[in-house]
Amino acid sequence: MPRLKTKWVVMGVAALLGFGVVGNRKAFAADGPKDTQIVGIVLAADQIDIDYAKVALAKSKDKQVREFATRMVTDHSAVQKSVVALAEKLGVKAEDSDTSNGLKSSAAEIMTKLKNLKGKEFDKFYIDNEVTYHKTVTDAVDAVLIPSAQNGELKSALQGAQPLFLEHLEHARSIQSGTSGPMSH
Amino acid sequence: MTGRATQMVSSSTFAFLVLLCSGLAAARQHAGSNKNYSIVIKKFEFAPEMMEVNVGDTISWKNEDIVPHIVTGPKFKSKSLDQGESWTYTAEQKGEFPYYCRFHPTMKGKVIVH
Repeated sequence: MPRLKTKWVVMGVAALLGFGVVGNRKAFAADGPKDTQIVGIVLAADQIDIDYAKVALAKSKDKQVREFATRMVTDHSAVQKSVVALAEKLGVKAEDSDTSNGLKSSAAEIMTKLKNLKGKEFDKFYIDNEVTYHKTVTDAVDAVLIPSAQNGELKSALQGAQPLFLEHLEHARSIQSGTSGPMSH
Repeated sequence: MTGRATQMVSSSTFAFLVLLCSGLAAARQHAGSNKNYSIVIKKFEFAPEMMEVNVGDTISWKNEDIVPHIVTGPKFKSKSLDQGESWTYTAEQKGEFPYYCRFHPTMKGKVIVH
């Protein structure tokens, strides 16, 4: 991808991630995040969704929501484990960046809302947020993280993880639209 | 028992044994014609997505993803398959059997048994 186009995509996804573009322009001043920062972003993104899911498991009584949340804990924990193992193998140490820090501060706001809601309002907000969150993550993985990864194994791992994020997105959408069910798609 | 009666019993026994052996041979031949098929679970897909088999054939699903999956159909259900684990099912009944992963309901496949 030409440098200029990459930079605009990075900025667009940064905007999608919900941060100030100015801050992210600085974070992605070159061609995108470094491998150490990519590892930091992926670990942060996984942990955030695990934390959301744990709140859902503590608060929701809806069977579909609870099953989805259980899956988020299991799957994102598996991704985290594999990312940590790969980072150790490659000698890459996770590094915080404006993006990972921005993800964490946005998550803190969402977490406050989750903790203040209950019943159906909680379930709706949790699932709506899961749709938005996974859409943002899949877009960021495609447009920023995969193109920016310098190490081939890291790039390949990101490409391998993308179907998981996409499945979660579709699963959340099906619950959101009320069409969730084994053979309803 | 007279000699003639003994001869008749021996003939009947022989005929029975011949029939039994031929029956066993046919059964063995039939069993030998059964095939084993493999479906790989990778990148959140069943590959191949559709498989056609005959009654008596076996199908093995192997999970190569880092997360667990469960093969769930109307006539069969696997245990939770971790990465590297397999589960085998013997097709017992003719028909079309759509299945999915209970953990990840957007993952779907179909087995057609002839």
